[in-house]
Amino acid sequence: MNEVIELNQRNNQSQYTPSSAFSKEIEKTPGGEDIQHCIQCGMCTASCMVANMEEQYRPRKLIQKILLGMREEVLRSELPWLCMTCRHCEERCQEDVSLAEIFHAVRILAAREGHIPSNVQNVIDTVLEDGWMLKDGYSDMIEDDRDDLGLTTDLGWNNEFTKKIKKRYIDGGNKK
Amino acid sequence: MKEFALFRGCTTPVRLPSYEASVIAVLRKLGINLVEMEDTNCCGSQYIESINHTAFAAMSGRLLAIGEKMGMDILAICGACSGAMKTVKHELDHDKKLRKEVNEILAEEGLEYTGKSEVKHLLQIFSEDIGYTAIREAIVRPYNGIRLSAHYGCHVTRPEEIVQVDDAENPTIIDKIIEIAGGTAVDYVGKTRCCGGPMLGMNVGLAGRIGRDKIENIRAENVQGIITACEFCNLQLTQVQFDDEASNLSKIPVMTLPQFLGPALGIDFDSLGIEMNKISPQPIIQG
Amino acid sequence: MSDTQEPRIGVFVCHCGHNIAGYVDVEKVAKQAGELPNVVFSADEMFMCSDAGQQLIKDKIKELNLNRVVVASCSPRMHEPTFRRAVEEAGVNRYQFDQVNLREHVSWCHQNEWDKATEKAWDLVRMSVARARKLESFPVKTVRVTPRTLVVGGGIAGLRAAMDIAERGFEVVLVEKDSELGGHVRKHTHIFPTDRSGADILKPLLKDVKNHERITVMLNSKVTEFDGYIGNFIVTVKNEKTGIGEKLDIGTVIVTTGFEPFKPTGYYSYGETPDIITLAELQEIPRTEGLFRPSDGKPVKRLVFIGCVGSREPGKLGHEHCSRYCCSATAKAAGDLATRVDEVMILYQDVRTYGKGHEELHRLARKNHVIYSKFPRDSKPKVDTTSGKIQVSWHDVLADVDLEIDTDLLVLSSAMVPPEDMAETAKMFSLTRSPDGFFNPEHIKLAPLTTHTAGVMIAGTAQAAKNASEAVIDASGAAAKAVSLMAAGEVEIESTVSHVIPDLCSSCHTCVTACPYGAISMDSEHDPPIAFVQEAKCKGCGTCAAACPSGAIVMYHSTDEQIMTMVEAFLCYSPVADGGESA
Repeated sequence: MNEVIELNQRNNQSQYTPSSAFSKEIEKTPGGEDIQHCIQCGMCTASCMVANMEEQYRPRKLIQKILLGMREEVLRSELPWLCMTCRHCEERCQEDVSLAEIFHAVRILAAREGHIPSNVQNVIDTVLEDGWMLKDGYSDMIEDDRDDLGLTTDLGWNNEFTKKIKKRYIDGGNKK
Repeated sequence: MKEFALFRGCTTPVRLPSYEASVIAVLRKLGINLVEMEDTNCCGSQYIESINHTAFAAMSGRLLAIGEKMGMDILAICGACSGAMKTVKHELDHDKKLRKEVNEILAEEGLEYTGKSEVKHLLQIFSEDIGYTAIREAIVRPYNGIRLSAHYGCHVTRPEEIVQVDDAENPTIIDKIIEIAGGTAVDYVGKTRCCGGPMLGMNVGLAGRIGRDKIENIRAENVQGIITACEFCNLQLTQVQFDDEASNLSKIPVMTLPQFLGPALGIDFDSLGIEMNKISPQPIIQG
Repeated sequence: MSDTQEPRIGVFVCHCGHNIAGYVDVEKVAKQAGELPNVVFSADEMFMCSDAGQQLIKDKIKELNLNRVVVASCSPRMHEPTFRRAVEEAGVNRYQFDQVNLREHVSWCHQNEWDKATEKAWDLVRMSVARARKLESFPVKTVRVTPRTLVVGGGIAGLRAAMDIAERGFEVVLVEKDSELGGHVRKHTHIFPTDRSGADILKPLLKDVKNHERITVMLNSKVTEFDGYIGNFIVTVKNEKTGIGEKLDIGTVIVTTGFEPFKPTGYYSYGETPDIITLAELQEIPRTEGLFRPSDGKPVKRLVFIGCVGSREPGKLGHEHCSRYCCSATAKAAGDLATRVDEVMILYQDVRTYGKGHEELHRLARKNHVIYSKFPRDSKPKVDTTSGKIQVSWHDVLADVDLEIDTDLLVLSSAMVPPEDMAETAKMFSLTRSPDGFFNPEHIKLAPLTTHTAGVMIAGTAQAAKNASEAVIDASGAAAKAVSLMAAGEVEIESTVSHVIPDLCSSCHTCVTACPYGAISMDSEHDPPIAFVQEAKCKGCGTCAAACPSGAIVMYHSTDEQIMTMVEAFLCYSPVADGGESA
């Protein structure tokens, strides 16, 4: 059951009590180790192309929400999935915080609790089943194009491994 | 002849085979032989990466192990693949626990990751393995000063300490090759910004706005074409020009770097898939 | 002391590079000045204050026997000492030199009016030449400097200053109103950035001060009378306990009377419960393993700090300044205590951890999971104690969300303000105060430790809110200034002072009241007593001369005659005559 709060939906909430529990959890998740380094200077948001084009998306604000411990809101939100991992923010962050990595950590926790945007889930399912992303997109016409270019038409993808991965790490609640 | 194991990635073979063909043709001309990696899987970038850390490490780790088995370094031509594999390599080299765990699952197929194989992006092959001098010497039909802008791509160049391809804030490899091939490399506002490609999965409209912003910044410099180093960026910068919002604007041709370099090296258009480009690069080729 | 020789005036008009010459026709002014009576030499020069410029003055004095020099250049506040020195070296008395301000008063304020600016420059030079004719020479006077310093206030700054001076071989009298030395630092149990106790840090300094043969410590004492002038102060120090007053001869004074931690009554429910305290009060809690509530002794689980309490409040006199020490001290306290309690929060307006090692304190606090939350400037946090708990609610600016928390202990990082008796101290030493209430330095950048009362220095938090390390830096600086005065043994005083003509004095006492510096007293050797100016205290402001109904006071170097001749030169200028012929 994927429950994701759509972009632009107002989040109504009453007074919230801050807690450091969520950021401690993020700290222990791969990618989230640097969460406590953020000093909220805003350089990331200033550099972010997504923030430039989408008013709701503010990386600094999202990090502050993590620091305040707003676990449910952050894990259910679509916002952490909007990061393009372009790493402009990282290059410029004075405290060397990797926001792309922190948002990966958030996504991992969100995924564990079943909050994955549906389009992301679709691609994941495809990749794990087929071994790669575009098996359905490999039409005859494209096969002909490849032939004309002198390229191999048998792409040789292995899906045994990805099925194994799915069984071991993804199914059964993403233990790891 | 130097050899590299070629990892195509998911997207190039299906959506931009001309890129694959150009890479092989150009590199062969410049003395690099590519051996296709077989029995591969998706590198896990972006999607698997977002839901499980070990799964992601295992997927890219397997590719690294295959390269090792082939006894070669790996060439990744897609920015996302190159970024993913370099990141995983960095982690496996420094995190013993993770490496042990990944090697456990790889051992089931007789594969092992020891870290012997390097993974490089296409731009590194040009700047490090071939060298600018060799490229210059191989130019037989230089361009006539045509104005072109380079788009490097985020995952190709960042994070700098891990990927070590070029200067992240001021990259120059593509620009140098444009100049060597006889073109005029033109800078533009927001040169290192993202093309918006990674946003396609989540929000097509937003991805389009980001991509079109880049196109307009380039258009402001009055250039004849855009040169890319990743098929994802190439496809995105091409596609956004066909959005409704851009319907009344002229189309700027987008070429991958090897496709652009090929003609200058005397390679025939067919081998480079010139006719297959959605926006015809004829203005560039003629110029 | 008038000179009977014919004035031979040299006029030097400075280009000041482009600064003056770009807006005023300096060549024309110099040429015209050359045609004035008594002007023997007139020229324009690129930079008069340069070695070349100064040498030109000296050369021309010797070559042409000049006995008056006019330099038309920048403000005398800039280079009067430079040019005075130059003319003196060539044998001309410094008081027969006059400086015309063509920069601050002409080129810098009339930048787009070439003709008019030039005309004004010409007017000013002409006036100065007219005055120069009437200038008289005066001897350069000095007064002795008693080799003893009075340090007022025995906190860390006073202790440091006393030691520095005593170590240089001078005597120090250290006056402290409390019964113990050490000020506020002594009371703090945790000092940043090293985390030792204040008493611990002060120990060696206190020992050295108490044992030093040249330092006399007077506890429970205050300064009750302060008279005299630089190098020769007469001070009465009274012991509040015994009631005994002692008169002391003092050469220099360093005021290190410190600060007071602001008690924020009316802010954030302070005073409604013992569990709402100030950062200063927190820092005085004895060192313990855990942190306990003052009310019931139970362990503190949640701890909240609020910053900028009573600081940075525009429009509230005495509370507009940033108290400087608090952000760093709060970060340190929070970072330390985070390991002893469950949750620590700092509610801030800004984070200013600027100093050496301070940014590291900020990072350490965050590393220990202290939550920093920014509140808006115009909507401060609200504290409600009605339910028996301490409920804090506010808006977090950066997450754009309303927050609330019940805290066990609320610490208010409150302001550093001047002590209660600040006004008294200011009056005693004739010191002025800045809007923040602390003492005004002579010049915020160029002379931050001296004051307008010559011979009196300020240091430490008496001068402005700062932390203990910074107070010590001040103290050593002020001590150096005191030592340089005492080491010289004597100090020059200006001769541009007022002088009472005894025969004309009608004994009305008007000047005594009028003098802002208390420099005039009645000389009772005469009957009736005659007003008498203490030249070392006189600043040459002219108030007394203006007030005297008998016209008995003359301002040396600004006599009525000198001023009138300038007025006439301006108004009655005739190219042929020497200014003052018509009407």
